[in-house]
Amino acid sequence: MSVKKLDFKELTEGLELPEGKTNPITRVQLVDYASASGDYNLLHYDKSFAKETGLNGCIAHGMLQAGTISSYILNWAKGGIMRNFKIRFSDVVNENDILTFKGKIVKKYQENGENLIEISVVSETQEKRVTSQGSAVITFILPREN
Amino acid sequence: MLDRKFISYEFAPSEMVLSRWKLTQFANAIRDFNPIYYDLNEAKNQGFKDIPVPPTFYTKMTYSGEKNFYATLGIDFKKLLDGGREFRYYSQSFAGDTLVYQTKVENIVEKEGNRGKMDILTAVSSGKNKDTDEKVFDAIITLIVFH
Repeated sequence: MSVKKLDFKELTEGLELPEGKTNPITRVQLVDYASASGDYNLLHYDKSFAKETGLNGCIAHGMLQAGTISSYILNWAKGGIMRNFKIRFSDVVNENDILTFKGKIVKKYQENGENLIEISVVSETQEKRVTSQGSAVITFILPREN
Repeated sequence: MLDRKFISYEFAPSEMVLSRWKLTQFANAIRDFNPIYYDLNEAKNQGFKDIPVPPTFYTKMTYSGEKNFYATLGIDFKKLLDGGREFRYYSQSFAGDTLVYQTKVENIVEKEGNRGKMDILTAVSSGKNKDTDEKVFDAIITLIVFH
């Protein structure tokens, strides 16, 4: 499969990325993430434990959400590599929520011989509840060869 | 309330061999179906020397190691909220690399919010490539622990 890389020249500040969307974040996915990340907080897959903490049910790991956002950005920024990724969580993601991502190029610049863009990103649930805000700096150079 | 003796506490350094399986398992957990995380030939076709590390994979290195992160700090899951992260990437890692990483608690400060008093803990996990000594990442972690 050949992948069309983004052309840095064609990127402009203010350009909006196509919206991204997850599938419902199921309990199976929460268990998969606990295992893959090593974060076994019961809150994410034991409903009775989650209820004891005052929640209505299981919630997603913050970093699961962050992972889906980094994928959203990198699957758009073909040929790019992340230099920096910041995320601030503002609300919980409940089991079976569907997240929508909106990204935008806020800065395009060159530094130390690298072509860079900064993207801002917001994620929200199907009820338009904002769950996180973040930003990423992407460089367009070839991956290290050896 | 977190014990202030943990300010500047350093966990022992640990090592992790990045296996293809671990990276693929992580990509699947975030439901990223980009074939570079599943198919070595596809990764190579796209210019990578092996299966690349998904950018938030390094979060694993805060929780894995000799000592359990939360248990050591005495953090009760029922009082914990994840505030956010910042990752700084210095070089791309691939399956087959061995990373050496370490987590250090930077600070613990008290704040008051809607849910009462809380501690804001910041910690930094850093990793480098064991063979080349090249710096790979810093992850700055912000956790909220209610009193």
